[in-house]
Amino acid sequence: MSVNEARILHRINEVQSAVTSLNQGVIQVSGQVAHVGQRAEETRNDLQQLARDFADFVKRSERIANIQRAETRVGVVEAQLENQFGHHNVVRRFATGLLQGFDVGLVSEETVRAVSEQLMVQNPRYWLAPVLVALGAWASDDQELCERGIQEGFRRSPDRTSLFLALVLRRQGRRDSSVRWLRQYLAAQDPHALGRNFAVILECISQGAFGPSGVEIVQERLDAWRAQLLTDEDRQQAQVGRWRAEMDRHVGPSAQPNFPRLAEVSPQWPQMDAALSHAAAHGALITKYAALAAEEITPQDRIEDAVDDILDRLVREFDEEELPLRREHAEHHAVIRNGGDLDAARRDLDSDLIALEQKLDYLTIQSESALNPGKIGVSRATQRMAVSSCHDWFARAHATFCGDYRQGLPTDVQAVFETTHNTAGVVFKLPRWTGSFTRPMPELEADLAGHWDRASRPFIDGLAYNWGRKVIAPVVVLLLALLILVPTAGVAGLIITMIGGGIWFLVLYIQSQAAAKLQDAVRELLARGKQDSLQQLRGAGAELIDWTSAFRREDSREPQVRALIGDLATAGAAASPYERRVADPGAQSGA
Amino acid sequence: MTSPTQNGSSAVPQEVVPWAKQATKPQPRATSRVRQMVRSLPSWDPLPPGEILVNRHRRD
Amino acid sequence: MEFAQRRRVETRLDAGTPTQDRQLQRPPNQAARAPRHAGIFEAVHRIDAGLDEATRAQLAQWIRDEYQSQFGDVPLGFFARCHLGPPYVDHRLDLWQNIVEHYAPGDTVPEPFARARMLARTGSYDFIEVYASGELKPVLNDGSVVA
Repeated sequence: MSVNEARILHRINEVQSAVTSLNQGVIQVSGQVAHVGQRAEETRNDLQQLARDFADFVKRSERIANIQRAETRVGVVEAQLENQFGHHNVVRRFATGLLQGFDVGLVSEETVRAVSEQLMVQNPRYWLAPVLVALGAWASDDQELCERGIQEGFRRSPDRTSLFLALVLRRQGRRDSSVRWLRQYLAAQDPHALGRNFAVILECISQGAFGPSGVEIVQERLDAWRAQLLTDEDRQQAQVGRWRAEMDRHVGPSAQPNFPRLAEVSPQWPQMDAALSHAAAHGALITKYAALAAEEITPQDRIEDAVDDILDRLVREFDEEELPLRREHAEHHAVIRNGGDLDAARRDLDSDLIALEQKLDYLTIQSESALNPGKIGVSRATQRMAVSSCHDWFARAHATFCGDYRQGLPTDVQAVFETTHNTAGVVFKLPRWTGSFTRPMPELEADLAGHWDRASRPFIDGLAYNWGRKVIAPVVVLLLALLILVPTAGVAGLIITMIGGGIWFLVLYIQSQAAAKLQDAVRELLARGKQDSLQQLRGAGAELIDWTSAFRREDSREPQVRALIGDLATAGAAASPYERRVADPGAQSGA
Repeated sequence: MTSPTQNGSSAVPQEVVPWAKQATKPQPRATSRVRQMVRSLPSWDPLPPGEILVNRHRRD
Repeated sequence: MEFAQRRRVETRLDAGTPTQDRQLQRPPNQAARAPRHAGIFEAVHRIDAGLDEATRAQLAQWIRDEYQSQFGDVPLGFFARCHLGPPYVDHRLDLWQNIVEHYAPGDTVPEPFARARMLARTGSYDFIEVYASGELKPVLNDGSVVA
């Protein structure tokens, strides 16, 4: 090796070791980077943990602060309540005592003395005080004082005074007078804002608690309210909307399990499915409401319990004046009870306090009594009455419901076969085929078959053995051989050529047979694929016929529902159970 | 026909009517619910203001 | 409370607002929903039955006037099932252009009538009122309107 070569070799070695150490350096760096990455990950976890701990800490200290604030305020509120409304508690205690006396049939002189006129004076705004005075005066036959108590109570709250007296007088067998008070109570109601007591009273009246005259005056009042409220188009629409939701609740499930091939093949399936399941609502509605119309509804014993519940509430509930403070008091207690968690406290607040403030307009009560009787707390009899009163909204909602789902019907039902609808389709790269079921089935089948044929023809033709081309080479070679060999080798040359040619042609023949076999196999695959396609089409067609008759069957029940709604409209006007008992003990309920 | 009607502004959400709910704390009853009638009550009834007058006129 | 005063209050509560409203004209929405009477049915069926142009124009005018006075809103026309038999399945009556057109299942129907096709095909409605706003009001055999 020359000096230069040695020098070059040396240089190369230097470069090599430089590269090696560079490599090592890179490995080291990447190791360090990985290490840094790991540390970063750990740091992020730590930070997240820190953030969580901090959030917890903040929440805990918030809650502690809430509790402290509540505890401070509670004391203040309690003092204010005692100061401003302490005597209201006294009134309520006397009320319980007096009511208890009436309940057991013995009103003691002591009780009467407690509810002296002084009570009215000491509680200038609480409605319960003068009413107690009036009742006490009644028990002690002091008509003049009774009148004064009534005047004052009525002035302070005509609504509660009337209700209380109606219920007490009813219990004491003074039916006519109780009905007069009932009329006053109803007259004092605002149909835009009715409270819970109203729903219960309506229930009691419809159950016959106030006799036929009670039913009569409440019908009068309800008719007047309806006339008043129904002039408002928005309110009407709101109720129709409620009933529309009721329709929607009865929509049936998807029918896909029953029409699998149609569902697979038709892009209009979702529309058809929706139309059918909506039409199925008619049947469901008929089941539900026919049962309601036909039901023999027995009177309920719990009327008396309901009446007592109202009386309890009247003597226990806080006067409107006290409410804000009482609510605040309850709120603070709820916060303390729930460890400062404001959300839990809100959920925990006594349902009575909330229910007290819930007011609904009459039309909504009517719809809710019909649709959610359990939530409002009314019975089946009241529900039936309410459905009857709602018949107009029910009918309108039902009619638009029908119109809407019918409009959703597709004008044309098609079958679409994509390339992927079966394996053969994929193999042959079958282009998409669309056909409309408005055409007769034989026509469609022919079209689909033709589509298959057209698509697969080039494929199959391509597999055909091209004798023409394959034969050229051997023929040319044979001819050349003949021309060359025969003159030189004579007969032997001819024989060799013949044998060679024979072998070649044999090979070609074997090849062509194989190709033909392949072609046959492919043709068979094609035939099977086409058959499968046609079967899918036929199946979908048959299911379409089934679907159509199913739809017609369900859809044609619409008039039945309308007739049922009409029946319910009149059935609800039937007498209350009380009247029926009195009029004809053996009769069936109207249905 | 238009799209399905929506609830008007006066519609109340379904869940917000707790009228039938029982009180969270069982409330004590004001009476023993014996439902007796007091025998010593006078023959006249307390009537709404103004209606007493009608009664008196009727008796004339 | 004075007896006479209370009586007055009660009467006001009972009968005040409703009678007032009865005296005023019915609110427009309520009027639009009023059932279609027999005269209208007859007229719509007669137009369908194929008349000369002059009579058809007269009938169309009458129908337009009826709708204006009774219901306050006049439709563009009507869409209904066709009773001529195959190949026709539905037809359209235009109240303003005085046209009656019949359609086979494959034909296209101009908007806004096209949306009424499926409604007509169900056979549940006598005819469907098609309005310029695109609104559709099916009318049942008893005259009641779906709205």
